Amino acid sequence: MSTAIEMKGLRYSASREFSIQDLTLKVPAGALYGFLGPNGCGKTTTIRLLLGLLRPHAGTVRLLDRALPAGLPDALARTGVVPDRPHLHRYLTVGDALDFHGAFYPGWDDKWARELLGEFRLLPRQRISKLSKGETAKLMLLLALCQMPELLVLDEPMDGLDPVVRRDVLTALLDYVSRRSATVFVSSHLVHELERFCDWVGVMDRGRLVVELPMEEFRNGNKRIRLARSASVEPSGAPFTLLAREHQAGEVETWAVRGWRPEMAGWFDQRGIAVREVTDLDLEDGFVELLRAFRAQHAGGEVPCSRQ
Amino acid sequence: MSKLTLLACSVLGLPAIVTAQDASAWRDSAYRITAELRVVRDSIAREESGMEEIARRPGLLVSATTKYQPIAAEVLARFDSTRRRWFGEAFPAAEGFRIVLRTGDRWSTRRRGGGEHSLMIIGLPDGEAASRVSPLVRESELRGPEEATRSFLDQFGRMMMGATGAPLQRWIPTGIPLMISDAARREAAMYALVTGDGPAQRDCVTGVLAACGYVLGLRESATPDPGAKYLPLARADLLLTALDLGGPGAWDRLPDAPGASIEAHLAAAAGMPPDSLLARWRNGLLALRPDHGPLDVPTIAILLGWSGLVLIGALGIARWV
Amino acid sequence: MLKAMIRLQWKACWHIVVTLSAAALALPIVSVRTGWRGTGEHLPRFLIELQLWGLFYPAMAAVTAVVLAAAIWASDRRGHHIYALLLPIPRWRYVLLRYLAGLGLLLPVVLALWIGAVIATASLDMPPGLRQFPHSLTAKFALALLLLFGLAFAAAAASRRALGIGFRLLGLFVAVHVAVILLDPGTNLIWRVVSALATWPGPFAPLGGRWMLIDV
Repeated sequence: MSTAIEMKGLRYSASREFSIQDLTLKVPAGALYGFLGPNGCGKTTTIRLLLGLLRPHAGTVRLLDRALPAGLPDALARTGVVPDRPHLHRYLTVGDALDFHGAFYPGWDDKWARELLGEFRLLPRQRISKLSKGETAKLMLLLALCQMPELLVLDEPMDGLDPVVRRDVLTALLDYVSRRSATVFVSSHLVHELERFCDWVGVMDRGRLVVELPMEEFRNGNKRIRLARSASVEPSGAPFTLLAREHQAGEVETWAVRGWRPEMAGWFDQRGIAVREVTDLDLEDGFVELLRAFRAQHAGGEVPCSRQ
Repeated sequence: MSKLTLLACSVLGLPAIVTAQDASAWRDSAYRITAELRVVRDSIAREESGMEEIARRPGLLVSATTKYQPIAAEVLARFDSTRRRWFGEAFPAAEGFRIVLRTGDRWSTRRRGGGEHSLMIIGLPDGEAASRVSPLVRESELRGPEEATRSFLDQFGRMMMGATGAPLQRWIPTGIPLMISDAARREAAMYALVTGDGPAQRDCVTGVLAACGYVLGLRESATPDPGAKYLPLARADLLLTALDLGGPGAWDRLPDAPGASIEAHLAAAAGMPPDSLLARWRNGLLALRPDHGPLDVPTIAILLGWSGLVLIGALGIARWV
Repeated sequence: MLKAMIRLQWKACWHIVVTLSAAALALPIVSVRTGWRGTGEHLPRFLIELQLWGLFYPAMAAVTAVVLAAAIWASDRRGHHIYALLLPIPRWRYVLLRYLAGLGLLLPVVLALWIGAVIATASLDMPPGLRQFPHSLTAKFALALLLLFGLAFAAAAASRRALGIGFRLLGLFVAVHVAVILLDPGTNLIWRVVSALATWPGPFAPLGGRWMLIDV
């Protein structure tokens, strides 16, 4: 199996104001896929469509090589899920939750579950309704991990957690991935959170997939280029993607670009434009510029251009 | 002070007055009492004259004070229907009858309620010698048409039994239960029949008609120590069974054969020999006896079948996506 | 999985089951004790009172069914069924597991009623002409509870869409009933439907009838 998750032409309308449109997304098997997007862009809706919690109006979904909805139980047997909100039965204790959850998964590792309980500093007799936010998040992750899944789907797992809990969660996650070579699909609106361990990134905005590429490319290919402007130059035909341009005082322009490689400086040379400086765009800045360019294009305009 | 209080005081006060020492004082007291009684009677008459006639049927009319006017017509209709079924055109007296049911002030209470209210059924011609009864009843007995009809039938049944003569009245001292449904009455009579544990009662259940006659208070027992007799309800049920079997005119035949036994009166009403009547009565009650316990095969099948269908439905409608 | 489900539901509902069981235990005992005055002329009245007490058995079954069905599904409904939908079993199988585990919760109530019925009848000296039915009364109660629990369970498990459709159909039926009454005042559709449900072979027919612990 080369693809853990595959969505093609997915459409779903949540309301008049919001819909998922023609979403096509592929998560390679074994990837640590970060699903980025601002709040309200449709990440959770996409995850719910992926897991069969919502029914799309059009398009197909394949999860671990099983077509939904027919193959959903089989796919879920090998998928660990941490949803955006706690979904456990609040009247149970931690121990009860483990016993109940484990009964449904043949691969459940009870020994590891008890070990993780200790590492997460959770007590079996604690009632779920009395757990803090961080403890609940750890419990949900524990339940997902101890199923020994091939795929982990995590919806904003670090949201609202303190740094200590975040570290615990991340450590457990990475530990599992290194042991099992599992595929991880994790959503977040915090770029720096995913940067540290994801090797693939998909960016979503307003119900559409903006871009999907290896994290290395996303991180390294975003550059800020200072140009000496002698004459106005159009970016059409450029080998890179222009995200934004900024006219500054004097003859200087600054371009934010994506997909930059060093040899592309020749393109400016051919047009008689001197490249003064090429600096890395910080991931968060790159993400912001990417979204701005995407929104501008879909509003029917050109690449955003500002003056100083 | 209510009128009945006044009347009661007048009656109770009579001995004290009579102990007055001289004859003229006694005579004056007697005149005073008579005057007071007349005041009470006139007051009652005024009260009745405050009622409005609401509806009429052949031989009957109903009147009511304001409170009971809405239910009066329906009460008359129900009363008439039941009355005709059991008694035909018969009244307690040829001169008719009057039943006035009153609610409101009680003579035993000091607090005044909202005043007295009345509902009255008159059997015409309502002559001077007509049977009359005017009890004070609880508000709940006139709460609605059904309750009010029951109260009227209770009084009417007593009046009719009174008119039959002493033997029949003594035989059923509690009156005829016209105010409960046939099904309820028959079921209670069946319970009385089959749960009797005296020797004669058991013999009656097994079919010895002489024993049935004894336990119903119709015959003497031929055996020593026959045990207890049935409750008056069973006797009333026998009477009503006889009237039912006798069809139209049964009540009119009831007093025939004067001086004869009660059994003969019942047989005359039913239009059949006494033993046949007893056998029909007994068999009719035994037929009401349930032939199985709470659960039988059809009940099991129904409950299991529908439960299965409901489960299938539940699996189908629990579609959360 | 069924064991896990039974444990889960017991955790959620044990206090309700205990309360209902206590009521079920008491019902037959109280119904007999309040009316029994020995044999003889009191028996007809006792039997009539027992018949009235008989109404409490289907009522008890209805209350038990509704309360337990609601309690069973309460947590799932609060969580919008997300936990259930993420489990690796088909939805219908999860519902069936809940149902079967729910039947397990009904057992203590039925058992308590049976014990109460046996105690109530064992304490009496039965005269000739009377029969005792502790076992068949309990069996009837159990079957009625099964049916009523199924109905309550279905309603509690239904999706919002299904409930919405149900309410709309009910509204349509009431509208048709009103229209029919306006055209023909003698026709009462609601009464006809109720009669069909409550008389043989309708599902509620057995809920009427005799619920006599002691009978002739």
